[in-house]
Amino acid sequence: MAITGNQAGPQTIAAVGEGPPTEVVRLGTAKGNWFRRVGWSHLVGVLALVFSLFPILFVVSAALNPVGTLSSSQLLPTRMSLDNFGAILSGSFPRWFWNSLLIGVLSAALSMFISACAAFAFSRFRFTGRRAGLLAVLLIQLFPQFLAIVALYLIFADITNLWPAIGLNSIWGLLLLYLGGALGVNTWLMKGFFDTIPKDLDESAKVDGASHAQVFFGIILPLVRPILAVTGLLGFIAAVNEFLIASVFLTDDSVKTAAVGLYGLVADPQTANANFGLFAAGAVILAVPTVALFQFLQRYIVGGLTAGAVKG
Amino acid sequence: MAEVVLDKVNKLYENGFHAVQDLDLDIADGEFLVLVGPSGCGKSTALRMVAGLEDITTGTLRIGDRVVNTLSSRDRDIAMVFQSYALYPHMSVADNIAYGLKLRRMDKQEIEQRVHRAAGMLELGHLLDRKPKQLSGGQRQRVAMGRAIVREPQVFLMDEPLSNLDAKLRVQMRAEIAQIQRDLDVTTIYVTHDQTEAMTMGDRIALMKAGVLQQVGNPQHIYDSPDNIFVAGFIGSPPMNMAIGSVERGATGYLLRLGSAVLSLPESVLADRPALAGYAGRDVAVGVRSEDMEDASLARDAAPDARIRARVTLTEALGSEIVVHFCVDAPKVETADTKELERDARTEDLPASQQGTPFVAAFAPRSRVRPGDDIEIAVDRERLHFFDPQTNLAIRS
Amino acid sequence: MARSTVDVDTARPTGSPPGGRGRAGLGVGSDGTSSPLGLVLKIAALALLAAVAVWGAVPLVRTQNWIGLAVLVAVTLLGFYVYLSPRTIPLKYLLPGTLFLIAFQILPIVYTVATAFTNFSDGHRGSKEEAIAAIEGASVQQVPGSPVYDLTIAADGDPSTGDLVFLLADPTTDQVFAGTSDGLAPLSAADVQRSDAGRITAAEGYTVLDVAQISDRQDDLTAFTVPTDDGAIRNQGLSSAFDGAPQRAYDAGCDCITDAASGRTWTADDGNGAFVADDGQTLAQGWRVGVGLRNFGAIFTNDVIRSSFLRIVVWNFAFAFLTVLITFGLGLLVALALNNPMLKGKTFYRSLIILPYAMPAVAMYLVWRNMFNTDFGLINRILGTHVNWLGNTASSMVAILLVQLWLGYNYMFLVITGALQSIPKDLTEAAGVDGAKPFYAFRTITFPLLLVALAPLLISSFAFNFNNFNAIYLVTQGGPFSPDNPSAGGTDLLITYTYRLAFGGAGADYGFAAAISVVIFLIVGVISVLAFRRTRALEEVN
Repeated sequence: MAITGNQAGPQTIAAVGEGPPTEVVRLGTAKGNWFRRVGWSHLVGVLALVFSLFPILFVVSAALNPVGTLSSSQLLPTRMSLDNFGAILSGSFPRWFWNSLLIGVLSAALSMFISACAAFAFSRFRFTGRRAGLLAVLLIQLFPQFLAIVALYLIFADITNLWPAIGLNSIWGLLLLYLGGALGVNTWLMKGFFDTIPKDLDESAKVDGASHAQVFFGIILPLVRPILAVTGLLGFIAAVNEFLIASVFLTDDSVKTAAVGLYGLVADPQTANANFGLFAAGAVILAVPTVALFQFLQRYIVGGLTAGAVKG
Repeated sequence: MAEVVLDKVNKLYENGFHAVQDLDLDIADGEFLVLVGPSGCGKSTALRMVAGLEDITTGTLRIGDRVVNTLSSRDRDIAMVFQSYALYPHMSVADNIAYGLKLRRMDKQEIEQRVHRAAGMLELGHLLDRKPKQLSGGQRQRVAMGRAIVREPQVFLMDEPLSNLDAKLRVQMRAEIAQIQRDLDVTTIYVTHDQTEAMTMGDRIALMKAGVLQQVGNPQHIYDSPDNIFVAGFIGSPPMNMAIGSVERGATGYLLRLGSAVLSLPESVLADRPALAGYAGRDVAVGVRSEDMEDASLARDAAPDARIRARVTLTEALGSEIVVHFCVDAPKVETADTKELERDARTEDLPASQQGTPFVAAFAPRSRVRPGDDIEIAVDRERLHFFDPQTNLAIRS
Repeated sequence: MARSTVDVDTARPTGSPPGGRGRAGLGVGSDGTSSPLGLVLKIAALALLAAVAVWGAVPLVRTQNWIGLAVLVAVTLLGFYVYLSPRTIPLKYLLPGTLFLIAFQILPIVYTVATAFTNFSDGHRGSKEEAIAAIEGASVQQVPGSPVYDLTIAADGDPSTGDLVFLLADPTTDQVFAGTSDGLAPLSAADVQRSDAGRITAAEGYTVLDVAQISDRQDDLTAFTVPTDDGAIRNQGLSSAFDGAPQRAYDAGCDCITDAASGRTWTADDGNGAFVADDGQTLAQGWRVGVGLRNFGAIFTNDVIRSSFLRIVVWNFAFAFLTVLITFGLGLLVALALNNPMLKGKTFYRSLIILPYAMPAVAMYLVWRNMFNTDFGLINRILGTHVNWLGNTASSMVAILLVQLWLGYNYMFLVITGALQSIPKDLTEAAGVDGAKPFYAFRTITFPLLLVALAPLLISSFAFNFNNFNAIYLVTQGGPFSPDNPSAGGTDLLITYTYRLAFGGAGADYGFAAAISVVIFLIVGVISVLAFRRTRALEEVN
């Protein structure tokens, strides 16, 4: 199994940072030695921390800034108020936020399920077209959906005429569109993971009396939970952050996702200054679910990403 | 309970590999049959066809009164123990054992009773709440057994269930499984590549090579009268010693020339093997088991024309006996069967260490032979085995 | 689309068993079907599929789209077949994803490639007949003596998507009408409210548009006329309309358009999908035709396009490569530092350092863009400068790479940490015992192993950033733009360039945009195939 927790596990490059053996005699110069041992690590860590955090600090500070303009926002909040939050929550933002959550959760869950099904088929069955199918999936995943944005727009313009409920300006249409990419994105990653589950387990369950579906739901899915968590989280983040297609598809205020809606607040340089506080408050609210999910699933993530790396 | 009958069963893979060829086997109700052979001989494939995990290309498979060729595993009423145990890692021991019963939607109380009965039998009672990860290898093996037992199926299928255990535990589980099978009286097919397991556990042994059944019979019979060179070499530890000799018609009867040694063949040998006379003047493959040789100095009454001379290369004192390695100056037997045996023992690439053929004999512990000694070895001529080096078959009638 | 996403031929094995059947173990009790719950779910899902199919069929029947209907029926039948047949087991798991893949990924790609060989663009959208109708409609001029109506512009239903309707009041006769693209229909006076001046202010069943809504639909309005016996009614400004007759007419004999007033003719050019006069002047309204490789040719022959295109390609490669390089570099440094076994507080550092990776990227790109704002941005205020960071190409590029570094190094840090911990400790220890100094051991042992483990991921990262629309569009919008070519900016990637060509303000050129998409396909495809050939991915197919 390719999962390696990101908790402080066995340290592999222990040699780094330990001085060469000859240094031992200079134990007296404690300060220099401390720096060579752990000081440099702290230095790099603190610098990385500052670099990572200052834009986040700025956006939080801007969100709390009662004046609400870009020009008055400081890195550290000087005065605090929740005015921006109140203002943005009384506008269209709750609607956008809800749209984002809905699309994010549904598209992540359904994509995960679709690719888990496909990975199960590719990993467990031998059938004509399996090799061709795997190759096709590998090739298709090289072509992100949005490259065909022009064609997608034209196709959905036709769909809108026939079925407005799943056409342009509908989050359901966008959801269907995202599901079109499901098979390409995660199937390989998942298949690699599925392959690590011994086939004996399926066969044992079959002999015990399980149907193929009972094997899938009862044996395999519970055992691949780590990879489900990773693909689910990445799918959620990807859907919430998808901007290109959403901005073309969703133009009505009521169907916008938070990404499209927030962009609208600061798109125009003329209004960006005045709306920045609102925007920042929205950005902070939008960050809550992803950051929370991320912290919650953190232990699976490194393993899942590395598994993806190893499996290509 | 049911018998299992394989009738001309074949497995032909799409890539042309013929894994099992015309396999005929009748396994009686309640019988313990061990399917043994080197890796790749098709024994596991045969078992998996019985289990319904591989399709049967041609032939019929009957369990009880039903032809089950096209039935799925779940409908064959069998239970299987896997080499890896295949315990479901996300379920507790109790859930693992109960899984098959739950799938059959059995009454909860009955499931509980059965699980406890099976757990009791295998001394797993205190482990029911654990996950497989928390168990030792031996405990996992027991859970796998429990999962099979609890189903009370018509047939047990076991695919090398002991090969992941260490030697000591294997001996113990060997006896336990045999005991459980006798107690439950369930028809059992047991696949192994270990001839010791085959000898000790089964009512009968079926030995396969390269997809073809070689011989079926009770263990002692197979040990005593192997049908061909492969069976002779596979069953028994240490393996049967074999070398090329020639049969000659002497003045008083038939003689066997083995390298520089000449042994006379008593009347009884030819009476038991009428066909042997026809080999006069020709080469035969001669086999002799280690326990059928003795230090001639301890067997004073052994006739002089029943002895061969050789130099000892190595001795291993085991207490109950002393294992003596020496080299006979007769050519090695080299046939398709011996190649297969070498492949199984992974000795095919070893350089031929010496001229002649290495032999291993088990002497009584009183023997005082030392490496480098030139000794005489008395051979029990009644218990010699003769094979045709062309066909590999035993020379009998 | 058929929404047959779930194979419900199942029930949780541990699900509640209804009335145990005692000794079910002998193969008699298990008859091949799964639990009753599974069966119910399966029937429900298939019923849902049928319902969706019926729902989808209604508009197809209404518009007499028989091909669409045939596809819908075929897909639905396929769904039923796959989930009812006991033999199609792998398909049961593959069908939903495959259908979505074909509909929303493969078809669009095929469509993109097909569009790349046409002149599809504003003015070249429809068929020749539609172009003729539009030209004739647009040339309507007032017929002498016909009434001038007070006009109110409305829509049938939703203001932004409903069909346009002219609500007309004839000041001379005081009659009211609703004019649609089907013709003029009288309205009952009871159904309308009118202002003092007589203009209609509301009408039953229609939504009156305000000025903003009208301006959103300017294109629709321009093309909109109400056919009448003489010609058509069209608007004049936003508050009046007249009944007029077309000045330009199509003559099939000469395959040309003739202007009645001037007598000028424009002859159809079927190769270019346009009506062209003798002096080369073309009518704005044309139609859609195949143009072969012309769109691709333009990339290499049109001087303006060629120079900007090459510049964009070079920057696109540099952008993707540098992004991978700097994020990997910083990620590696931080991963090494935090992998120090003697370091305390690792978890603290780690969970805060990766925070940017969890933040919504779209919002953070916009935050960064505003931090670079010349007048109000945090960066200028902190530095006390007044630099227009995004106003010049070089500093824009640096700014974008800085943003990419911030968003991307955390991810690299995570995967490098994971990879570091999976490299066996023995290797570096063995090197240490052999007398290697730490950095030497790192350079010769750890780093090569890291690269091997992470190579496929670096390739993926490159491919992702090659088309990182958000990074460019949200930070610089592709800018800054030079005055001589306002369609290609200094930091444009191919994908943002494509987007602007198709959806930018200057009139959509779908054909050319699609051609560039195809070029991107080719570039990404070639790079990825070359790269993946060197990894194990392809071997695993076998």
